[in-house]
Amino acid sequence: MADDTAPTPAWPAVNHIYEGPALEPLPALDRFLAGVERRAFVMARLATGNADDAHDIVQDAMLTLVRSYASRGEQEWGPLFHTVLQSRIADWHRRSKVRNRLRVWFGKRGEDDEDDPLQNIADGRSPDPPTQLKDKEAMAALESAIGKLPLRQQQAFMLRVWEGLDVAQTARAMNCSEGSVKTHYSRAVHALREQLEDHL
Amino acid sequence: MASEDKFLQDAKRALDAAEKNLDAGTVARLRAARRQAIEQGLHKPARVRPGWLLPVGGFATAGIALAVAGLLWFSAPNGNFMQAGVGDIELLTAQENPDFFTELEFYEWLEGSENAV
Repeated sequence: MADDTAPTPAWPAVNHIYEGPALEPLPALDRFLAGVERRAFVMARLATGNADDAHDIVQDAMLTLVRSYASRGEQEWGPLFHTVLQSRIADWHRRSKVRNRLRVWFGKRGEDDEDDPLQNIADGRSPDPPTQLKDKEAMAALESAIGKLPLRQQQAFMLRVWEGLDVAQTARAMNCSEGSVKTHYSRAVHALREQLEDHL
Repeated sequence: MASEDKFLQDAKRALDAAEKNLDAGTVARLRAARRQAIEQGLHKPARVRPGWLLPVGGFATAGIALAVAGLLWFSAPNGNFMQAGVGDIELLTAQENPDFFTELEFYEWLEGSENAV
């Protein structure tokens, strides 16, 4: 398992007229982002099927949070970050649709630029190889199944099940109604159970 | 419902494992992105003013521009500028035919030629 053991660096020197947020929340902001970056990456990678795009999305979401919302209360950062992250994922999907349409028009086959989910699963430290293999297989199957869901169902499932957001919080993050969240979530769970009962 | 709960718990466990098992390269890249986001966030661009301030800002800008123009017009930053201004005034108030001034360069050359001769 990869550990984030690098020492925390000193804050960047500010040698010009400082116009950003107050310096006091920055350590807390760094701690917050350190706590969400991995999950955000996994979420973005599941949504895009591409590690590079997932990195870009996560970085953009972090930058937006720092630039636009650092001065808000710490308790607001979580919901705000999820809202920004899901918005960026939705933007990626819209651009991806346009790109794919252009590819079809110009006769190019869609290039397989999606990462093989198994390649991104590092060897865990489980002493039990069969368990490790089972985890890998389960994750690969889950990634594949979630990747096939429509975006809104993906988002509802990940935010409700993995992030533990309630319906109202999920609706804010997805910028939709609570009724829509319930519908998307219900359909996602149903579809995933059908595909994954044997794996999970 | 119990089986659905179990399914969701298993799914969450699989996602937790995916988070824990990210490779070192990915973790390092995320760490670098976080630091860059915080550093770039400190250098945020000038805040965009709300739309309703734009006309107010526009009037203010126009007023400042007029004031600066007037200052330049009535001030004397250097002799050459003042000299050009005086020359223009002479031109405007002269009694001669305006065509005279369009031909002025020719007449000056002619005078120079006659002197040379």
